[in-house]
Amino acid sequence: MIDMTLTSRQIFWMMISMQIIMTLLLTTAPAFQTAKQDAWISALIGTGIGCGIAYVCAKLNLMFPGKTLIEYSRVLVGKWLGGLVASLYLIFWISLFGLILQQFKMFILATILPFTPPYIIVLLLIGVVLYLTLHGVGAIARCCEVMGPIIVFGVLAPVLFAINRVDFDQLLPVFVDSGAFAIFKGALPTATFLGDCILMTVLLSFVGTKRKVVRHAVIGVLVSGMFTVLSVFACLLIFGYHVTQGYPYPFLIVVRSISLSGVIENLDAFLIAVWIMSVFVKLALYLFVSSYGTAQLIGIKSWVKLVWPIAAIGTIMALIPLNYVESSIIIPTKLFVPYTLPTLMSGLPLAMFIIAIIRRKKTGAASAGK
Amino acid sequence: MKGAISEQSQLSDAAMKAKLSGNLEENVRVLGTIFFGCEDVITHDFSVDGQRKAVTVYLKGMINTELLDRQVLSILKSADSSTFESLQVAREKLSVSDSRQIGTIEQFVREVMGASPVIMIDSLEGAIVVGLTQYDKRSIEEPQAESVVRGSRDGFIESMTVNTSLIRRRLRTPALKFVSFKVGRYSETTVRIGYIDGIAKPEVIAEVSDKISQIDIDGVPESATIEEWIEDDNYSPFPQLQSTERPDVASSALLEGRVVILTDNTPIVLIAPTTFWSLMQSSEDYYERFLIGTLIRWLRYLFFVVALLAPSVYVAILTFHHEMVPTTLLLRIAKSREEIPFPAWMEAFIMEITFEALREAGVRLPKQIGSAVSIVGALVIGQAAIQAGIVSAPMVMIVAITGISSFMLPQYSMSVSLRMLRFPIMILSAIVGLYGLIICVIVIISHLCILRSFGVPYLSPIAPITANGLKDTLIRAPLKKMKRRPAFFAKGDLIRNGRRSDDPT
Repeated sequence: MIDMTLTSRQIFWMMISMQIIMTLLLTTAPAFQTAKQDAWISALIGTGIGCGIAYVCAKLNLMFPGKTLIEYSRVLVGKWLGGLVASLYLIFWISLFGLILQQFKMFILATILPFTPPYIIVLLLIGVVLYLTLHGVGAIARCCEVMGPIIVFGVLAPVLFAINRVDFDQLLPVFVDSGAFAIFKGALPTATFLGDCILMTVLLSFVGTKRKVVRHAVIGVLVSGMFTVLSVFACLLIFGYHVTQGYPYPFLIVVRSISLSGVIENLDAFLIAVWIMSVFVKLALYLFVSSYGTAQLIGIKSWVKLVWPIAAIGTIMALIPLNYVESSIIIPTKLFVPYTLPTLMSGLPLAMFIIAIIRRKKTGAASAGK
Repeated sequence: MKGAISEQSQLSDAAMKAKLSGNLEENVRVLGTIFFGCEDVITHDFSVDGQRKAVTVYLKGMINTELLDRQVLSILKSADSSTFESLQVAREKLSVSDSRQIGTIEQFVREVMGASPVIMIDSLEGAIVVGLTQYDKRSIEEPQAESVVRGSRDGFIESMTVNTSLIRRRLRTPALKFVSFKVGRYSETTVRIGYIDGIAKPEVIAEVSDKISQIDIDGVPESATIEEWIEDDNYSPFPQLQSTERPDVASSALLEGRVVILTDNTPIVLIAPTTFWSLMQSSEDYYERFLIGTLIRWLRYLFFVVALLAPSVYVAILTFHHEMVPTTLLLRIAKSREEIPFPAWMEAFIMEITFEALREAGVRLPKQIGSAVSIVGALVIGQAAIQAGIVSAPMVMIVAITGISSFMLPQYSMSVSLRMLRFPIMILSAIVGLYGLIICVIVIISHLCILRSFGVPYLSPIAPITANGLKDTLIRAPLKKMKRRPAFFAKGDLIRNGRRSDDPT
């Protein structure tokens, strides 16, 4: 049974469950490297940008109820240009789907399963993702509602357990060392990762009752961003930026350092297991959005048929042997931050939003004139 | 004899549909071929009104003969000829409250097989059915599989009439409706659905009735047949209908807006639709104080996870993630595993399968031998295996806690599926450690999210989430606070209590 309706609250949980872990793991390190102990300000700015993108996307979607980006981009900028915009997004989403799998593979290999053949990790996960995605976006949404709270717990618990070792002096000096430009530059990776809320341009068309949908969407991104800020604070207050910046996954050292009465230690394997849920949800959403979008773009009725080839493309991309630096540092910072963040994530939605408003005013004026 | 059997099987549908004629001898001849070889069908012929012939046909041991003789036959025998002007008049003379007329051979056969005595009178077309069904049934006892400390002690039995009355006694309203179906070509089992009009969702009622009337099967040995036939996903390990032996559970399910399905000849009543959370609840949650109810509910959720994951976590940690165990504990475990010839996963498998075998043997064996099995089992698993160095003591503890946890679940069908799911998780944990374990958990969660029971998402009210539904899943809120029925079951009258209007809402 394919289930295709969502509630606006489910959008909130979707954003939470897909964004928290990847953002927190992959953007704190670059933030620390550029903004030093002011990384938390960077994360805050990044969250602000992310929320802005979410707001624009949600508002834009509300103007075209029941339609996805693929459909309304043609309405807004004409058939050919719209098709180009839509295919750009789809290429971006499909390649991102592969890249997330790739990053996830690197992460698991680097942390809990160093001796396992990579294809086992990838194939197991892609199998589960396929199972859920083939049952439609409603099932994914319900999955988010179950896993969201578990994921939130998986981030909050280590922070709470480690709270006794907080040292507020690590925050100082504020702003002096890095300067405004570095802080803003440090915000860009976070903004890029939170900017994947542009998935909403497709997802929101499935929401049944639109009431509060903008609020839920923006708050979802906001809360996800706040968890990144929290993780930055946790790393900073417990270890200081000198220690933290050397690690690829800074939050993981917070988890590793937990010790409860000397009995519960080294929780990292356990928490990584919980975090896998977030990556799983993210992959399912990307797979759904790209196959549904592709089906709309090339005019195929059944999007389910496209899930398989796209999953195969993603798997092949994920199995390309890259090293950690290439997959998690070079591609995001050298490709996404300078190119996709200003264009696909913020520029294009904003431009379409403005065009939509202008066109609506025109048609409104025209109809008023009659 | 062979000839008669073939003649009976050749009796066409048209012949079965034929009307009972006014000629008694002709009718008896046709019925004689149908009932040929059925020694328990008694055809008793007698005369009424001096000369007129009459016949009563019934199943031996299934009717109240005493009443038939006293209230039907003796009255007919002593009646005057004016009684036999028509079947209607004859029927009105009987001192039986439940009687009706039938017309066709098929109805005749069905009524006799349904254990009602049928009377035919010569020269009158049709026959009279008198509702004097009575057969042996066991007395109402305390349910075995769903025992409670506090709560009513009566349980459903094999008789549908008794079961219906047990529910009706608790809900004395005409809004409680029952609809019957006949299921099974040979068994002709009565299946009855009950619902409260104005609370239950019409679409659910329609779906349940639809699915039951579409069942095409030769016989219904137990309600499990019905369950399997009407559930949405046959391949899911999770039960999609709740089963109960307790009338109080059935009637509170009715009040929640659910539909109960009673099957004749079984004490197990099905409840649809079902959610994951309702399978985790026991009736006693509502009979104890709400704090205790909440606490026990949480204990159950916790041990659900333990029962599902404990051996896999043990295997995964010992095989892949030693660093998670504190050093002193790890040393203890390592010491006890020193002489064990197997890797942890094989040890876990041996123990778990042995435990499952013991449990199954304990259930199947007669009670007298059952205890012997449990003693031997305890010795084999607990003491000898450890002393012989085949399995380690921590593993025995893990298996024991897993077994006990799986017994904590109130629904047997749920604990069975749980026990089954444990094994694939163990295999994957043995191959890729905690990663495999979490992949399995994700598969299970995804499956639960996908699953629906009669249109209701299996995980509601957690997914999709409703604040009101949380009052009866995460906690067991005080009854005064649970003002509304769960909206995913009910429709229409949603107010449970607080209708007296001093309440500001």
